[in-house]
Amino acid sequence: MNDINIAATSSTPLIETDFAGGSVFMEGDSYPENSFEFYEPLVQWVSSYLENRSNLVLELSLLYLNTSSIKIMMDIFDMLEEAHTAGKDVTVNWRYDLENERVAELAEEFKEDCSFSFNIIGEE
Amino acid sequence: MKVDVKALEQRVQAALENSSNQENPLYEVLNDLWQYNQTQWQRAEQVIKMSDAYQDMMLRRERSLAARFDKHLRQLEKMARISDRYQHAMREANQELERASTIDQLTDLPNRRSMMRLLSREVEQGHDDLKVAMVDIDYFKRINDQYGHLAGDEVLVMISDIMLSTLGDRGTLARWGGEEFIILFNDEPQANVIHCLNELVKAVRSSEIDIFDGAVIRTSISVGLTQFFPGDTVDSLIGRVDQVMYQAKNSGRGCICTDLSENTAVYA
Repeated sequence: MNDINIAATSSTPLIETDFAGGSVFMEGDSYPENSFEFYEPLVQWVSSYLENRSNLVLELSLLYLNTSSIKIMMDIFDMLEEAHTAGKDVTVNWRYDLENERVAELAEEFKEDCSFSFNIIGEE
Repeated sequence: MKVDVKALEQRVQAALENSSNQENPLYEVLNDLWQYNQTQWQRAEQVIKMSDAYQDMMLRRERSLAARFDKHLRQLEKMARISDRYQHAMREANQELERASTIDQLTDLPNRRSMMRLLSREVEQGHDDLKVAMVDIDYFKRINDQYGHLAGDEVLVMISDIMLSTLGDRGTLARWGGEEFIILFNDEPQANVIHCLNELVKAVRSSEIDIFDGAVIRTSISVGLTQFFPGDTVDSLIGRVDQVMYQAKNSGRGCICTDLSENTAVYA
């Protein structure tokens, strides 16, 4: 299974997956012109990964998400929730700058629907 | 009359199985009818099975659609909430930007951009009873050099407050830049405007400005006054009021010069 390595732009986040280590890293703003097209490889990767492996950690440092990116993230979190219900070990660590409370509020919205480990970590 | 179908079928079956009936001319017809009846029953059973399967499929499909609908509804509600929050934050940021672009951060007065906008509007409308005053704090550089820029900022804030409270609603005061201010008077008779500017000059001159290290600063303002003439532009108006303000500087400071009359007058 090929890993994904997408460099950040002003409107899209950095995305790195690590199949061997069982992690996904995302950092930056997300308002692509076509979010569904942009995120398709990641959604496919997470789906295939969860079919084959039982541990996954999402390390997120996302700031601004447009509406379609929010929808994609909810779909990914739903996949994680299903995997968790099926007994898999999934975790989200969403890091944010303590001075940017809006990011924490956004992460809280996502966390509401998740019963797996979802940590919102403020950093100096 | 209610027919007991099962009993009737048993009677037919028994009649057909009885070998003594095989020679009966009705035997063959009854046998064909019996076979036809059996085929119809089998078809009915098939239709019932298909119908049950179809109903089962529809039920499963409905459950699946309901689950998807609930999921999408939940996602939609969440997206709307997040979107509302973003819009609220954006509105606040816009208001802050709007304020930052039109208000002077130090004195809280309208800034140069705001005054330019106002002046352009008035000049475009050709407002013929528009008077413009330029105010400059005297020896401001000396205050900055002697007491430091923080003290200079304090003097700007204090003099802005004094001028604003003295002016009231007779005119619009803005910080033009550095230690310069512009006052716009609309539909105020010349005598009232000069009286008002005299009050400003006297109020500033009589004020003692305490700065943070215990020192007290006294200063004055020089004021130039002009009015809008047909054909004026914002630049020509500002250029003229700047000139008369410098006449006030050259006339000893702490006074008002105007070009409203034939001769430049000095007041205060």
